[in-house]
Amino acid sequence: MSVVGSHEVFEILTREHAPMLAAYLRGVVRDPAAADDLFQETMVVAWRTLDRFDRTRPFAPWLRGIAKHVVLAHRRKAARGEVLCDEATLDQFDRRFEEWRERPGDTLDEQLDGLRDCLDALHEPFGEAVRLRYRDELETPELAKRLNVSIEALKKRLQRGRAKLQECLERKRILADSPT
Amino acid sequence: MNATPEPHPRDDAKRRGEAVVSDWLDGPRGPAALAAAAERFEALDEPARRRAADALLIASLARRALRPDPAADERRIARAMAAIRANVALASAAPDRAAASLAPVASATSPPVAVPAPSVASPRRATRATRGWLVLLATAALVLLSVYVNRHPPAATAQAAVRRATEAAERSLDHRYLVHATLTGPLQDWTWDARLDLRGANQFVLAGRGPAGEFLVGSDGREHWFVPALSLAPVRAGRDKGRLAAWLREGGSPDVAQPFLDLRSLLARLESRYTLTLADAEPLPNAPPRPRGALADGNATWTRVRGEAKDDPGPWPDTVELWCDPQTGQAVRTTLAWRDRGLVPRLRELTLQLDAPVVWPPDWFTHAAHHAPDRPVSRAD
Repeated sequence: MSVVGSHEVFEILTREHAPMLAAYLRGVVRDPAAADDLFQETMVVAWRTLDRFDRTRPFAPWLRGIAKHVVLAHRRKAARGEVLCDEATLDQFDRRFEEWRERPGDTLDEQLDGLRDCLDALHEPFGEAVRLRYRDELETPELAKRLNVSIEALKKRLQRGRAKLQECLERKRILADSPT
Repeated sequence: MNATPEPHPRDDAKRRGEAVVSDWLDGPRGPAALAAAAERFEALDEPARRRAADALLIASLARRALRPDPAADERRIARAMAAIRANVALASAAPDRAAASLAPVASATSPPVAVPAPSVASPRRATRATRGWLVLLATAALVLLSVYVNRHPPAATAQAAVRRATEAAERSLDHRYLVHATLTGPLQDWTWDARLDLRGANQFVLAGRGPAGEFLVGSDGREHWFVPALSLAPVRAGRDKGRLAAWLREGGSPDVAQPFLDLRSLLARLESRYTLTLADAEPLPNAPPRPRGALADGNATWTRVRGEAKDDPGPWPDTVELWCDPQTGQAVRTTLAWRDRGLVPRLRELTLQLDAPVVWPPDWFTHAAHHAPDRPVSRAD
């Protein structure tokens, strides 16, 4: 197969796993542009080390393994707090993505239906805060002003909202209960 | 005096992990605040860090669930592929530089070109790097060949081309197909046109004309809906997929055309129930521009597959012609044709033609994007 042909194959694999990888990176990297740079770096490393991929195993965990090292290397170089994770955090991400992979649906976006149900069921005032934050991408000061609450009260609402989403996902058995 | 009860260790870990994430995600954005959040994170024990990880993941997935952005996915893929091509080109021209180069291509803060890092390799190391790169590329090509054969057979056969077209139809990308049907009726022939907007396999909006005007039937993958042509009629919505056929009929789409509007099912049937031959590649009149993210452009020839029904196809077409993008596999035009079996009304021909590249707004596949906000909505379940 020519290199051009290999590019095509790799692009197919990239397309299949891009949403998962983008969500993985965006979870721990605060700056979206930096997360996009790490996405690219992960893909380039994956391309360069593809001969080490055991094709009897699924591609997604292998790709996340590369992303983990790319993120940890970036964390060492970046300003403190730009990346919030350590090895154990990323291992927990990996376990959780494996649980998502069991969901019905061919793509991550289809597999998020259970989360959408939980978002729909989120009680007020948490639902509104979460929707305005993640759907309308309002930053904290603007969102607090919109909801006419203090920044601390808004932070609590968002924190509770995320916790309730996790409880909902655990009730639905989409996520396994976390052991302590 | 009553002592305050100690929180359960699990709840305590949860609270501490989530509080740190809250500071990091929702607190001030300055470097000092982020560094303080990181310091608190590093002080957490392992159970609390796991809870923090869960909160971070929920935030990331909620963002994706509430605001899907296929255009951003496309941009990331295009950048990554451009970086890989640049890397391979550098490997051919100057492998030592390529081996050192992982600089982002066209990031928000850099120009849209590959910027190789300066080489520090000695000549001997450079030679090793050259050999290493050649070996790596050759091995990668072999691994890719095996992966490809297993998962994505090359489109050297008609079956492979149809399979790739099916896979392309399942990807979560935005497309518009223009539908044109020619029918034979009891008195005369007539045509029916519609627009079919797609995002992946499960989200669609079909806009067609019926006796009362333009109607829409669609689905965001979870809720299915019908916006009748008459603006006084309520919008219908529900989670029962079985209602779609009745709504299409009510809107005014020809019954006989309905089964063929699902491109994925059509392609699956084409692969299993038709004798397929690969026809000569040829330019396709009125073909759309190449999809975004395609690896190459120009040379607008398309893979062309012709299918003949293996046995009596029943209501399905006697012949199918499929033009696909040779790079992405995407179906560019599908033409279905029926022989005259004396049935009336009957379809004579139906074409699904890919329109120019599009990116739909996030809410495009919900009914609310297609009617006045005060229009009543009747929920069927």
